[in-house]
Amino acid sequence: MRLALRLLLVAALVGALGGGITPAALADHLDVETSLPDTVKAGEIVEIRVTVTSAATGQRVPGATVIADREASILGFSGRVEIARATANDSGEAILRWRERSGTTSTIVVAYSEAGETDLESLPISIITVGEGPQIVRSTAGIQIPGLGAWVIVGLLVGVWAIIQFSMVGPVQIARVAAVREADIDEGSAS
Amino acid sequence: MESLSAYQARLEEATLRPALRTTRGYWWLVTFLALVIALGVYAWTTQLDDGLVVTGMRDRIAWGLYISVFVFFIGISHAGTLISAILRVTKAGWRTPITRIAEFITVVALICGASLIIVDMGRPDRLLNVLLHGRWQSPILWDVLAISTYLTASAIYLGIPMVPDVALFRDRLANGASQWRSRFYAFFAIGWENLPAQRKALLRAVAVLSVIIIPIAVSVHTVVSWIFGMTLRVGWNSTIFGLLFVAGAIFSGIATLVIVMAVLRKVYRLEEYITEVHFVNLGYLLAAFTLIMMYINISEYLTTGFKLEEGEEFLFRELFLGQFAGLYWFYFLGGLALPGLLILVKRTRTVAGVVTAAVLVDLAMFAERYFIVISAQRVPLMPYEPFDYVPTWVEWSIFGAAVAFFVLLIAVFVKVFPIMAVWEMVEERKEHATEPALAIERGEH
Amino acid sequence: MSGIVGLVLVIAMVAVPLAVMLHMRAAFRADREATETLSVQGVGSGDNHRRSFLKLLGIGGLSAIPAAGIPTIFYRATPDAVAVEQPATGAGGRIRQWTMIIDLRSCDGCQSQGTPPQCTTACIEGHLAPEPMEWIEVFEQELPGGGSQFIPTPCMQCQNPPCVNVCPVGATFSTPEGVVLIDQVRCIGCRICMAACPYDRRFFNWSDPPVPPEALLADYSPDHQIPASKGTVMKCDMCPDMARSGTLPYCAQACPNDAIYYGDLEEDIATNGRELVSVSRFLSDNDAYLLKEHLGTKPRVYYIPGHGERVGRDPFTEGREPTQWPWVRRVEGTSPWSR
Repeated sequence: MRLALRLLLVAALVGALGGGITPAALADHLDVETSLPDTVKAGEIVEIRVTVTSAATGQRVPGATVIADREASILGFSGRVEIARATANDSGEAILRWRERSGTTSTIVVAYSEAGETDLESLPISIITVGEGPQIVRSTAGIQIPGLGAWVIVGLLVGVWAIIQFSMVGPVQIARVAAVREADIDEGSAS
Repeated sequence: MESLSAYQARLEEATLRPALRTTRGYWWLVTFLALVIALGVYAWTTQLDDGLVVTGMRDRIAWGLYISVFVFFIGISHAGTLISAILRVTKAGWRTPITRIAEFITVVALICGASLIIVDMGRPDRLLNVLLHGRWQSPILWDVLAISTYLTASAIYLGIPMVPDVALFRDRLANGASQWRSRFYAFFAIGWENLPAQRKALLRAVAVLSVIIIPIAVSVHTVVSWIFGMTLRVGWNSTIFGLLFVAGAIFSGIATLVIVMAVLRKVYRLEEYITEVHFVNLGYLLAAFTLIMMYINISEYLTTGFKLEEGEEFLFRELFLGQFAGLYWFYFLGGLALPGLLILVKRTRTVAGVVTAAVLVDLAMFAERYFIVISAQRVPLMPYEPFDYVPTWVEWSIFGAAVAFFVLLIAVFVKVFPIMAVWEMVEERKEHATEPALAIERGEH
Repeated sequence: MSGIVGLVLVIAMVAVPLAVMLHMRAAFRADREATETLSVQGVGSGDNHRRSFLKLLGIGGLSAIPAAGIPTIFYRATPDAVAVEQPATGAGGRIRQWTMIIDLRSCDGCQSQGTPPQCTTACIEGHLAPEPMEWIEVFEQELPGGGSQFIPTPCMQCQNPPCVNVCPVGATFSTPEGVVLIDQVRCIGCRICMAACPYDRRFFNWSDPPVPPEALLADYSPDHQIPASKGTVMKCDMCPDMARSGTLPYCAQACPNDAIYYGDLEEDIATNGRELVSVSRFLSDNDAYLLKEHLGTKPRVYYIPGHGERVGRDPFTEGREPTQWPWVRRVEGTSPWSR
């Protein structure tokens, strides 16, 4: 489902990216129109179309840089991680694309700057409810080839050993002949 | 032409001779061998105490002389297979006097080779882990399976055709031999009385074994080559390795057989039975294998050397010009070309010529095992200085002990078991009494 | 599964000789009956029958000789998993997939510090790695245009690991977290893994390794390989125990230039202790590569090409301080072996 949102520009700047921009100057700078999928599962590709429009003129803004990042933490470190970046084309459209990994609810922030300007504006655009997905990356521990496994060697081994053991029938027969003959001789001598 | 029974009587005497008479020289030899083995055992105890640090091996050349000797011994174990199985299957009549010796070599070489693996282990105390936690996927486990199968099969293959000859020992050594000895022979003769039903059973068992043992033997040295071939190392990462090792195994097996044959023939005066024909025939086999070995070498080194992928250039310089050049060229010229010539030139195609060729071949094949194992590991995998491997006295001592053990076991076998397959030789003689085979004919003048 | 395989093998190897013996027994009885009907019964012949019969059975038992190979049947298709910690999980309960990214643009082999590479030193100290092991070793490699670059090289944690593939006893194994570990309690010291590793990342305890008192207090686990033991193989373990408890590995912590990133491929996040990156974007944006990728080992350690330019290293300033093992000096009576 495509969901078109009129987004409110939030005058909060991303600290790491920020220059000394006054919120007021930016607030009515641009309009952003995005398409958001309803729900995303971990491992799925998320594609968001962002249309950047100048609030002042109503014209599309080509060349604007659009960034998606999210809050993340690992090994005791937390911060924002950029997960996708795109540049608006001639009609002011940019497509952000990434493979969703977090698997939990995460906040997506889109930041953009008008071409030629170093200023960046950011806004939390939506909360995507993400369902739990399957494991995306697996530890393969080698490469499995269907049908090829230990049973091949086991089968080979059993076959070879069966033949070797079959050859042992020979000595047993030799011994049997001897035993029967011996018994016969005993019989003979006894009678 | 003398009667068959006279021939058989003479042959039986000749076969019994080693078991009846033991010279002082024999005991000197045994003492000497025991001393060499004792030194090896002492060396091994120092290694058990201090760890493998007493060897010349280190992380960057982690396999050394032990593995080379292991490969060499497993190689010469192929003597028995080729001579007795392949020649039996192809019904080559001239094989009969030498099959027993060949089968001795097989069993003895396998025991020596397998024990070197234990010496090479960092934790021999955990040998049982191979049984408890073995992974079918590992080439080392394939080795364990193949070698234990081969050892069992060749021990049976040695034992079954020996039954009639052991029965001969049982009957002829009844007086004079110790009780222990007569019981021993009585047990291994399993009541052999040369009855038709017994002969039938024996021949059938031998027929089954001589066929199954050929693929087993081929698999053994193929799998030995795969402990190298299954790695990604330059010099080992080769599809021709199985073939190279099997051919080399049969090659060195024949050479070892020739040497052991020559010694036993000299010591026990078996010239009548082990004749020049046997040496020349085995010599032809050797010559054929020199060509096969050269072919495999050229095929291997030209295909890799033409392209010189990463690391190959280093290996080539090492092998042909650098550290291993002496060994390599000795192997190629002294161990392949020269023996081939010795056998192909009519003047040197004599017992002495073939024995010389065989000695050269064995030395060269040992050199080949050594440089194949070491040179590939010397190729640096990362930007570091190549490591120089030099075997220490511990490794040389254990190597010496392994060779001494090999000779000792042969010496013991010779004293205990019949060294020639009397019944087969008589059979062969009988078959060709009316129409003598070329080989026998030529062997008799 | 493997149990069934073993059972089938046992049956095959024991049943055949047994069947041979029973067959012989039946045949012998038949023979006896046949002869008995023909010959006259004599005194004491019963005894003789029994003796011959027992002898026959004994010799029939010879057919069990091949069963000497029976221990081979205890081989299992797959070894029991070595006891390791429960794998760490991230968002959605999905298993962490540890990865390392080494940014060579920021690595100057600690030339600017005037010290041995600090990743190596920290690793040696943290893992009590015996001299001369360098689980993460900083190699200096010539650049095609002259000069050199430094390549810190830990174990690549291959996903098609040649070492795991060849191990005869399953002593080296892949964990669900994608890390390759060694169980030094199971290792038999055959060293085929060292022969198989194309990165020279495996080290052997050639003699008794130095063991400081504190090492004896450590509860041994393949996760940290402390204490070391003679005749076994060791290597970089990616510090999965530290990662599980939320700490960066020693090498990443110690790098003065923050060149080593460590993180989770599953959640696509890594950190060098200063910034967080999305692994996929970081790798792609910076043209990351794999060491000896053509070998198909599928490493989990990625490199971003460079020669220390981020920290102002000129590629023509060559050489680095030699590695040291400071902790080894604290342990008396040990002598290191040569590399």
